[in-house]
Amino acid sequence: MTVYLGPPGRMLTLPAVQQGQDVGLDRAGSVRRLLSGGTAVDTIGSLHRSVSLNWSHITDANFATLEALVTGIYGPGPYVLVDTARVNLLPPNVAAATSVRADTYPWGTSTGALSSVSTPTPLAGRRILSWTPGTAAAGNATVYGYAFGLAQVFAVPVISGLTYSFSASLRTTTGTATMAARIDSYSASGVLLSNSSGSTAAIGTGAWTTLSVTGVSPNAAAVYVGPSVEVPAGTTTQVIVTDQWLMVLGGTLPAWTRGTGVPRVMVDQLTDSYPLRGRHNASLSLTEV
Amino acid sequence: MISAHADLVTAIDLAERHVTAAVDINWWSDDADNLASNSSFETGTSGWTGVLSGFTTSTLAQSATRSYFGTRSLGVTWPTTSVGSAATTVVTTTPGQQYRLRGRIFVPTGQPFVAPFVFFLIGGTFISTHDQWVLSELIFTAPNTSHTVGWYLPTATSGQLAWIDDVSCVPYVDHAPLLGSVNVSRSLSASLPDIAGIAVGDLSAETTVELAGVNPALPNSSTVAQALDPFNSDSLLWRRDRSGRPLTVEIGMLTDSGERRVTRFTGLTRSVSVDLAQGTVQVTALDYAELLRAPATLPTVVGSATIGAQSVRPGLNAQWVIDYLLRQGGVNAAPRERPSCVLSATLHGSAAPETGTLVYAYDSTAGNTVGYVQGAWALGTYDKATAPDVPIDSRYGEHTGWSAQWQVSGNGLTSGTSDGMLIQAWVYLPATSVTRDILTVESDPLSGSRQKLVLRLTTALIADCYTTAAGAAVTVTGPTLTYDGAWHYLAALVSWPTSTTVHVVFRVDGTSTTPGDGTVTARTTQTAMTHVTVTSGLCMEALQVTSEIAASGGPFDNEFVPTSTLEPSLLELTVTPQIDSGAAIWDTVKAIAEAESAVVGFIEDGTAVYRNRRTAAAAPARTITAERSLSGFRTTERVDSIRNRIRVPVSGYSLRAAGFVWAAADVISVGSRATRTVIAEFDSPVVGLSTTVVVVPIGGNTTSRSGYRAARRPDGTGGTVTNLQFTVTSLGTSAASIQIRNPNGFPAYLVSPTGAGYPSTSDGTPTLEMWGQPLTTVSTDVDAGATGLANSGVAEALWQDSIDLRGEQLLDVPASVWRQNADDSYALALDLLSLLHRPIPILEQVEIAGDPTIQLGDRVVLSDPRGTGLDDPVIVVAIDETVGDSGYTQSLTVRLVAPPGGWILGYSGRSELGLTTRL
Repeated sequence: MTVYLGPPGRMLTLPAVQQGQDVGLDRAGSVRRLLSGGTAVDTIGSLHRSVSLNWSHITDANFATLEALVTGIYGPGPYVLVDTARVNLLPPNVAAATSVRADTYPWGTSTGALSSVSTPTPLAGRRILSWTPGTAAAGNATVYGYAFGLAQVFAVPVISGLTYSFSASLRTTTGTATMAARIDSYSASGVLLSNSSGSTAAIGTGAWTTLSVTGVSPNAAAVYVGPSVEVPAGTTTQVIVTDQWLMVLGGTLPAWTRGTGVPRVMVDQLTDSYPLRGRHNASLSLTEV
Repeated sequence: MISAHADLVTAIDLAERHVTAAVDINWWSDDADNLASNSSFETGTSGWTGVLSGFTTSTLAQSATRSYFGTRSLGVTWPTTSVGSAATTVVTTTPGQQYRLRGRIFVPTGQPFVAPFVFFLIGGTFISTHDQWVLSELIFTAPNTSHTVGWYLPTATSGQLAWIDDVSCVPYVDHAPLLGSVNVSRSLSASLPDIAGIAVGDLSAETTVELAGVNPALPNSSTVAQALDPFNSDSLLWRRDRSGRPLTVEIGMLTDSGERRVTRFTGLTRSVSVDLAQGTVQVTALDYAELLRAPATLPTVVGSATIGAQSVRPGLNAQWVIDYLLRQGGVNAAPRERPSCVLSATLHGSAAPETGTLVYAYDSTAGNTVGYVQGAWALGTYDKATAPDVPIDSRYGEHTGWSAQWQVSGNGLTSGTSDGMLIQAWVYLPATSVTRDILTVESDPLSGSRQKLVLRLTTALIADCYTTAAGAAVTVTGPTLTYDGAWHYLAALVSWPTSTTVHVVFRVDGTSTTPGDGTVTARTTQTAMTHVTVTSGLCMEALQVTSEIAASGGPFDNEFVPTSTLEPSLLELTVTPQIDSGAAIWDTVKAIAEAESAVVGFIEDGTAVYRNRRTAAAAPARTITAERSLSGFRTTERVDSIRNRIRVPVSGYSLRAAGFVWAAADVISVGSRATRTVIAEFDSPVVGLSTTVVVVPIGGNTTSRSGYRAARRPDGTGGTVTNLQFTVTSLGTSAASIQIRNPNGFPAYLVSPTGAGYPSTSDGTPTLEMWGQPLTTVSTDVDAGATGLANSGVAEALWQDSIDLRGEQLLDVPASVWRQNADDSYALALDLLSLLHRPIPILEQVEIAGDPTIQLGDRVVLSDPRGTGLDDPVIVVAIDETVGDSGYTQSLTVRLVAPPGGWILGYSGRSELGLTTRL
């Protein structure tokens, strides 16, 4: 499996991980023992990952790549971790269309109101995103996977030479809409530079329709990419619902799976040993911030 | 309990909870750092436009209809649109920096809601509440060097309305990714320090926020410690003051309807501690009591006296004093004095005005003081005829009806074509209609030439305008009133467009009515209306009369939102006592609370509260069970906490006969054509101070006025001076400023002159003397009631059975100038005795799964019947809560309502009397 790590705009390809990868999900919070003998559990914030990458007998050159990250040549971090073992690059609450938090964080929209609803029946999870675009004052009305300003926190980093694909399931509860899936390219400060839309399709109140856009090469100046769906001209009566957002590396879209995001991580520790001259057994520990 | 969303209430008791906390620190000033131009619209609408590419143009205008800040707002009239419309301004930004756009929005019923937005960038949440000013905000990261920001709506019909005010756009730091832990500690500092667990005292709150780590959206810094490092010139906060900044803490849960939080702390940052080695920052903050450190000043107000020929019995519940003090610090239980206010009487326990002068006030029963009852915001005057059903224990002072007269400040109100007048008050309208004058604004009733305006009730609100004493009334009939047994805002904005017309705009709650103009007799003279008179007054609160005119006046106050919630005090005062010079507002308010064992402080949302000791929730607000929440507690029962004999000193005041209350001890000189100010400090509080200073005649002053004599030389020779001019201003209760102006071309000396016929023994004697009535402290003989004891100046209560069993345990309550009434003192002694005569366990370190809706003073039930056997209602007297690595924990200190197994009125299973009942 391939792992990418680095600051946005300068993602590095790490040496192929040979000896496995440990990933732990840590719950911040507590288990409280009650007077009745029962327990109460508090979770604070979201689950945070601890990642340990292990290599055996990698070359000096490969180890130098790891050491460069630790010594700060690429800046102080946090870095973005893209792990190809994880399929859906979108944050959990975006991929599952509000099912995790039952609210619209970190979604964004150019026009209209977003809400988390439970009808019609979600395709996955317990909730779906509902969007009343209202009107498109100028240009298209758009729902973004992350509100402006949150791209630096959640957006997928551009990895040189790779393409991206995105799909989303949509239907309406009121009216019809002609819609398209889109991949947006953002600058380092989160400015929308350009976008690539897939084919448009008529969305109605019947069955779910899956829209997609595949094999998109980001804008040459882009640092991040993100998903969105657009409706060219809204009306005040449209109510659009969406579920199962999926964004992957490459030009092929698999079946939808839960999103795990692309965590922002700090390098915790790099250990090294020399089994042979010019070879390193290394372990890199990362903590999600 | 804090009112919370139903889903949050459900989530609190779940076995698995996803806790969220948010800390908002506004490091930037909404004034000095505001990027939005013309943010309060006081001077117009420049910088704002309703024209925006792709949108239908809206119409913007400066509005006096309503305002959140100042007297003006931005009125937006929407066009018919299906593509959207907006009101916007342009702000200059730094690319990559986060900003927070904020504004107060008012949308009337039936009008479409609006949302904040950054044009072509991001839209915020639509407000969802009609008919009140709503805070609307949007956080955005600026990609460019300038952005068009404002509020928009998607569709509208022509003529629909919205108002915008108090807009700010300042840099913003999102602290959410940086929050390590937050602790809020809220407790009552008991006024009786050796008696733990009594739910009285001053309420104080402190929060400590631990910040750590990296916010990817935080520019120029990699860690929060670097961002807040005062030596880091790259920091956004370089050279900025980090203390005194607004800080709020919200705690909540993820619920089925999303993230729901409630405010747990509102205050100001007190310290910022940066640990660069660890990369952490600790911020502490205190509540808004910090804003009330300015010295308190109090006027002399007498609750009941005969001053001169007038019966001055306005009443003086200590609530009036508390409110008066808090208003000095900008904390209000009634609207602030409006611009051009000539009379303001909150009526919060006294008819004494804060602007204007009280002439007389009394209950309709001769010799009684004005009575009060809970009004719209705090106390209001009470009229038994129109509110007979109010329980007697909800009334304060006398109970019949009331009359009063005030003299307005300044020269009075005139009725020229450029003049105006606003009368406003909250008035209780009974369930059935009444015919009654509300008040009369009139020329000096003692003068011959009079004009007046009477505001009265029938089935409608009516204004009668008289231009002469003998002339007929011109009646302008306003809106029909709804008589419903509730308090309503009533106002009349009066103007005289021509010499023969009177124009009235009536306001009842949120609705304005403008009937046809009245035609009045042409006024040949305009005698200023200097007095406001109430005869057989209604239940009334927050009375104001101003000279404002519609064109430049502020909006009506019917949308007033209080920043303090005051219960009536259990102290009826004789007079505002002398307070220490320089005593802070907050310390003075705390002293009053301490005197009656009340609770005062700022609660979670920053509102000031004053609760008297009788307040107790009738029903428990929540049951905390061992199955869901309760994880431990410690109980302490101490015999030395018992007090079975209570002594409460009384600081009575008595009004002495009028006379000279101060005389100059030394010769006072005033230079040629010069002005000199002398401060007179009285030995005790003075009422009825004569501000008119006349020449003392031969034989002494017999005119009940202050007086002086003066000569050209300090020894009294050189000739008599009789034309000095005096301006006397009260400085609190026990001092006055005397400004003396000498208009002559030679110096003057305030001494008795020689050769002017005065007794020679007085020649050269310093002569400047002030006339008034001194209030002196007296000892009050108190019948100690049940105890049968009598003590001079001390109210005492004792519990003999307890003394017999445990020996005498005496509590000497500290003396207070605020406890001036023997009955009040004795009631306090009895209340304390009932709490302290027996040992009641104090439950400390009551550890529960955190509940963000619990407040100090809440009555809750702790239930563990199958374990510890605890199943008792308690009152929360301290809360210490933390959100951090250990989850959301709350540690409570509570006081049992009754001893274990004791009788509790109204509590099922404990309220039935029987052979085993333990009282």
